[in-house]
Amino acid sequence: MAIPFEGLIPYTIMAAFFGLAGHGVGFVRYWDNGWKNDRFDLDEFDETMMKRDFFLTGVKRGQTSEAVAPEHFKTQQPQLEQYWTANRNQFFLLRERLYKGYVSGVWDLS
Amino acid sequence: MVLDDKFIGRHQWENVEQTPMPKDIPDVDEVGATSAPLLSASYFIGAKCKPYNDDFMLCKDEKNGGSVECLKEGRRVTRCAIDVLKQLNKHCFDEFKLHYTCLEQENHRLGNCRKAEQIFNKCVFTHLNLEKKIPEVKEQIHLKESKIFHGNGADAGLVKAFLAKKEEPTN
Repeated sequence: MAIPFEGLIPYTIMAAFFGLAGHGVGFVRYWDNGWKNDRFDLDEFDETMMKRDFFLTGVKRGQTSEAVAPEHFKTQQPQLEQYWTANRNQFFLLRERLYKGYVSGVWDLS
Repeated sequence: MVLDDKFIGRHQWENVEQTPMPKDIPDVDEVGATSAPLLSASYFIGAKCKPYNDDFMLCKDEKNGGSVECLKEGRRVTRCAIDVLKQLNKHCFDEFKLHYTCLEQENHRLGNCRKAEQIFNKCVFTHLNLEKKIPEVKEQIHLKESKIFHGNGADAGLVKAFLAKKEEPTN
C-alpha cells in the first residue's frame, strides 16, 4: 500500500523547517563563540576562568598561551556598584512606574 | 548612565584600585595564560613546581591561611608557573597550541583530546624532561590505549594533519 508522494509533502516541509531552525541556531551559536563549540556543564570556577580569559584577551572565548600577563591585569577587578534604592526591580512594567508617578507625584525611575 | 544625575539609584561606577601595593612588597608578574592553556600545562606546572606549591600550602596551613605572611611563597609559585609556560611556548609551541585549541573545542575535557595530548607530552618530555603523572590514582588514564568515549572525534584527524605537515620539510 504505497503512499502517494503528495501526501508526504507537508511532512517534508515541516521536517525541512525544523531542520533549518535547529541547524541555523546551532550555526549562529558556533559563530558567536568565535567558531568554537559551546561550553556546557560549567561550574563557578569555569565561569570565573572565562571572565579571566575575557580580561586577558578582550574577546569572548579568546585564548592565549602568553606566559606573562600585561601590567594592567595585576590590579583589574571590574565590579559594577550601585546605591541602594527602595523600589529597584519592584516594578515589572514601565507602565506601573508611570502610573505610580502619575498618581503619587513621586517619579521613581531607579 | 541614563538619567544618573537625576536619580541617585541609577548612578553606577566601577571600583578602581586607590591603594596600590606598598613599596616593600616586591613586584611579581601575573600568569598571562588563559584557562585552556593552563589546563593543558597544569600537570607540567605541577611536576616542575611541586616544591614551591607544597611550600606555599604548608605556609598557608601554618599561618592560618596567611594571605599576608605567605606572599613570598606565593610569588615563588607564580614565577615558577610563568617559567614553565615560557619554556612550553619556547620548545613545544605548536603541540601546546594543538592541544589547547582541541580542549577549547571539546569543553575542556582532557579525555577528548588524548591524541593531541600524546604528542604534546612527548614533546615536553624530550625538551623539558617533564612527565605527566596524575597523583594518587591506581591507573594513569592518559596512557590507556583503548577507551570508550572519544568526544566529537576531530582530535585524531587534526593530529594526523599536524604530523603530516610537520614531516613535510624533511621529505
